[in-house]
Amino acid sequence: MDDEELDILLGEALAPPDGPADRGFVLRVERSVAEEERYRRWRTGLLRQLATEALALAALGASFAVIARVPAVEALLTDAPGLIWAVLVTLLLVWALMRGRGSVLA
Amino acid sequence: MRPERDPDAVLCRRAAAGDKDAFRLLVETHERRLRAFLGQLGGPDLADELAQEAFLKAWQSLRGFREESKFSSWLCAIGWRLFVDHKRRERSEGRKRDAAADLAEREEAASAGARVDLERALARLEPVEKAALVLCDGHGWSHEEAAEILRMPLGTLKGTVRRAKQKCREYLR
Repeated sequence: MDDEELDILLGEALAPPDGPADRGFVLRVERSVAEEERYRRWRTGLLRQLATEALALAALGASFAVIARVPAVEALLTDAPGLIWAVLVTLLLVWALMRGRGSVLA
Repeated sequence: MRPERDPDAVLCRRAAAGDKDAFRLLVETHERRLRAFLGQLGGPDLADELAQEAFLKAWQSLRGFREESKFSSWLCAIGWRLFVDHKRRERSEGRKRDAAADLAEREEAASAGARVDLERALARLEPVEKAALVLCDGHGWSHEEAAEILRMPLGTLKGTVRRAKQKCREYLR
């Protein structure tokens, strides 16, 4: 077999098929793209929510630190050290309730 | 090539901006070629799986696609990398198929006459040799484009095509 014959044979055997697009395949790709988009939106939303909550927590912590330095509050906390835990548990419950409501609404 | 004259470039820009209809048109235009290329390397089932993954990756990366190359060659390069990764994973997971069984399966799928011999000859090539041959002799890519798709220097690509043809010729003799 000479070079030309081999080239012709290869060209015929390896040529891509002609014809219209495979609708089934195109639909599968469309579905996977839509799925990917949904996942991307969910991930972006989750990251945004986590960032917001981290910021809110940092702001709360800073507020507590400032308030705890007020002499009257400092004295109260010294007399009743359990108070700070009560406040923290209350805040945690409020946060958990709000998160729960948020996920129900979502 | 001026991007404005290339219909794919317009569709790419629209798809990169989130237009799913534009992306569907790109899929419709290029799916047959990509699946044929991957099918020659790994069979129809793997081709479908990898082609779908390649389109998904293309969708995710379209914003970073620079129109220095054609969309079709960029997509083909994604498909080739996915195929190489798949083969690597298969090897590392110890799931490498028995080469003889693989060859027998391909031979069974071949049609009659000289075509059977050619299929047998092609089945004996290394994946990169077969890929180079499919791109250059089957799909009509230039050597430069094929080298870009397979991420190899031009000289290496030309040598690979030459070697692949030599192997085919020896088998068909």
